[in-house]
Amino acid sequence: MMKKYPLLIILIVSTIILTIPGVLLNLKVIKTSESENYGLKNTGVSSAVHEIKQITGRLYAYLTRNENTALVEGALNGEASDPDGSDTGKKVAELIKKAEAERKAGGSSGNEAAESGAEGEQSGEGQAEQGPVDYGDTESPRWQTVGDDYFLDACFIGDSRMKGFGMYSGLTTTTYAKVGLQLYKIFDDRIVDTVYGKLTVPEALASNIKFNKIYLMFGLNEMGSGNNEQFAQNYYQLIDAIKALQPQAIIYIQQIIHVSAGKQESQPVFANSAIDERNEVLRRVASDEHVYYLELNEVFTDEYGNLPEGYSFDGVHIAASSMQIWKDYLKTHAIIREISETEGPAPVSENAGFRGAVSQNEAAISQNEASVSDNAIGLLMGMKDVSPAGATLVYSQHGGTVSGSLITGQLYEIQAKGADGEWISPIPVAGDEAWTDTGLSISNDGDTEQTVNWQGVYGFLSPGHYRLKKRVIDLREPGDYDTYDMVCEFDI
Amino acid sequence: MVFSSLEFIFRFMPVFFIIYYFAPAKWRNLVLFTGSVIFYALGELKYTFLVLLSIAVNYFLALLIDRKRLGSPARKAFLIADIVFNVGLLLVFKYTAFFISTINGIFKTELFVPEIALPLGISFYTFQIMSYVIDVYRGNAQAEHSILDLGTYLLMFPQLIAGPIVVYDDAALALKARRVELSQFESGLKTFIIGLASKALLANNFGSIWNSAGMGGYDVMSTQMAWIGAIAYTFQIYFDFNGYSLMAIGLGEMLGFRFPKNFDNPYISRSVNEFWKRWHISLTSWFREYIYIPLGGNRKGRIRTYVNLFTVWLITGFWHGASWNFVLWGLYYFVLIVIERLFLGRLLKHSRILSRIYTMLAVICGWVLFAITDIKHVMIYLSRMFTLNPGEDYKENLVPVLIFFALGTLFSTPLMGPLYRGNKNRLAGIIILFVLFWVSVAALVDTAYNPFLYFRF
Repeated sequence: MMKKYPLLIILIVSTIILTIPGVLLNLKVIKTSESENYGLKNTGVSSAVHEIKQITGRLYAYLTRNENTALVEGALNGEASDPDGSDTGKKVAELIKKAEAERKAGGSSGNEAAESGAEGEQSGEGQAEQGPVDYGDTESPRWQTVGDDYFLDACFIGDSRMKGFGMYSGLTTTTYAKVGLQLYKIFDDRIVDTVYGKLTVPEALASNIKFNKIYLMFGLNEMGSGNNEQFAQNYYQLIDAIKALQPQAIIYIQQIIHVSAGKQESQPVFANSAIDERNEVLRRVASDEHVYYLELNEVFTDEYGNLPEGYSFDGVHIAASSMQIWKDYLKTHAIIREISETEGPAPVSENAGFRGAVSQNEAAISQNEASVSDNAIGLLMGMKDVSPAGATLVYSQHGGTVSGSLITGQLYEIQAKGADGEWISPIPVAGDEAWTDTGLSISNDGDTEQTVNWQGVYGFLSPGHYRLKKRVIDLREPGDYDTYDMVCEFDI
Repeated sequence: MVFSSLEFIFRFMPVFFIIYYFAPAKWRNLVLFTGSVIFYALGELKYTFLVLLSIAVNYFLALLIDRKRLGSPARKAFLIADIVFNVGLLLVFKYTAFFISTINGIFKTELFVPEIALPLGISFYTFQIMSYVIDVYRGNAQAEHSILDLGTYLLMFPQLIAGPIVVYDDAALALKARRVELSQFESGLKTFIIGLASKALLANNFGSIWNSAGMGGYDVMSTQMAWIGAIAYTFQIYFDFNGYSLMAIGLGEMLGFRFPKNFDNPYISRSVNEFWKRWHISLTSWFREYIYIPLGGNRKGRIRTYVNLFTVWLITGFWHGASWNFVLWGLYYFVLIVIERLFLGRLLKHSRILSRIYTMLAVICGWVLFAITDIKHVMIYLSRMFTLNPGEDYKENLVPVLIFFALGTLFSTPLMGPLYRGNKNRLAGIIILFVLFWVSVAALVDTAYNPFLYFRF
């Protein structure tokens, strides 16, 4: 029989082999983390295949662990898992335990977490850091109106609509979003591109980049699956992790935006009444977590309760030409922290970028030993106020043997450290090194600062390890000069 | 219920085929008919009565036609009654809202536009049953005396929802006496799997690319993105529809029927004329056989030929959808076919490459007109394709997109056909089919996106 109908036989056998565990999963005899989704409405095979996909997904995630994975797991499991071996991991775990306990006790606005967490920061540098957010009254927030700059140090996390916002809103900001992204996959899906490879969103948040505002949008891809409680649980988990990994960030939960009348008719799973129901779950989550809740549907609802016609081409995604409405809503419903007045990119710390703190100045200088030993004049170049968009270079010349005047131009080059330890240039810098641009004089005896904004050339740098190369000349006379290449390593 | 769904593959198919294969030969049509009614009802319960009514009316009218002498006016009267019934059914259920809103648009009236849900497969089964009745009228077929057999012919679940449109002649013999063997089942299964993979692994992915392209609105797409979207849709509709047809043909074979193929590598065509001989073959044959030729075809002089062509393409456009963009799409092809007839066809014969480039460009632009219902949006989209619009939007995911396009191109050529046929019975072929099946199933699990484009026809 096998010879005559081989395909049929092996298909029947394989189907039976999968159906048995599948039915057991559906009957909840075998329990897994996905058990909520299984039931007799599914075929046995589909549950079995779904479970296999989950297992291989987790296996893949395990095989592609990176140093940030450990930090994220630490935040979730309440363990000390800081690779540097400092107290950071423990403090992170304390924070999350406190936040969870408060949420369960229906506690106050999180002030206690703010106090105890004030010293336990990521970098442990003992600087005047921005501590965890004091949310104040999240039920009736004191909204402020802000400009586009407010979003420079913001991060937008979510699904395809969030992605559309990142692409078409015209804001300069950071977006970690993907088409089809679901909340329960947020800890597994590697969607953030960095020079290290791809990171999950929590892993990216566990790196040295600091955001002061984090906007979340999830829910559309969860319509019709799971249930309200599961959805809420997944959201709690994400927010708790964000609070632990980015304690200084103000968290905003955005409502699931309505769909058009045509869309809900053709796919009733997206009915706006169901969306409204999920949004009430989000309101509760925001309230429990004491974060802000943005009722976007105030501007995305017509008289029938649907997304107004003309706002979208496919009834789901907001058209680029209508992004202004969304952007304006965010700009008029912003919270400005009282602790710091800055609306621009927040400085991480005084001498950020070096792995280490200001108090560990030896480390800072030893990073520059290379350039010191390389040049005869004793010029040092350091960096401060490092952000994804730019930094301030600090030239330090004390003593040494400068024969002419020190000049540097506007040109510089940034290289990223690749996964195998090699330095790669993200974007080749075009042009020659002729001194046609403005020169900056560097003091022969003291510190000189030069601000660079590399956003226009390199864009927003994603988390990673970089170095900046700068050419300085010691000019005696036109045509008679020495050239020194300065290097400074930094982290984003 | 869609063929490419897990409920169909793992619930309906096993249960139905076990009963079908164990049933004695004389009950097979009953089993098939009943199974098909259940299949239809699971897809759309409330219009099941309509298709049963259609069977009954056409059955009786065909018998009446058969009784009358060839050439008698009564015979013709019954035929006209039958056509009026079938076409009327189609017009009422499919085009009422369209007609009324068009009238509202032209005359600025505010007539109430009723919302009538389109019965599943109505465009296909009305055409299929009309082919039967017209063949009886012409004397090319004998009227079917068994209403069960006629019902089985019309309602057979493989081709019920989305074709291929099977003329009665092709099925008549098999309806009465067919061999039902496991070897046929195995053979049909292989075709079914190719169709399934085509839908689940190719069409659905091209569909995602098309959807992502237009996400922010057509007015902001870069030129590259506009082309990527259009090409993605071009691939999607082919692999979707061809995939579904292959599944239908495979299922037919599993039942003991041989359905004709519906697609023949349409994207290698060297002219639009040739394209329509390779695309949705059962539909174009139907139009040629039952509209073009009865109107006189090309045998009544030049002017009349163009009028006939115009009529056929107008109806073709209409048939595809109750919306003006479909009508324009049909007329678009009319214009191209006339141009090819006049002089372009001769020129195209001289070049193997340029002719194919021309045809693909024409077809791609045609699909944009087909894909987008709002004419204003169509114009915006086409303008984004043919003007220089810089942008970075296409760069994301570019590598996977290009890989899929390469695969799409490969599977659109005649290269794969002989490869498949030569190897499908060998061990390697069996293993590949087995793997394809399970990979397709894995792709379908959790898939929210699995539309069948011709479903609402």
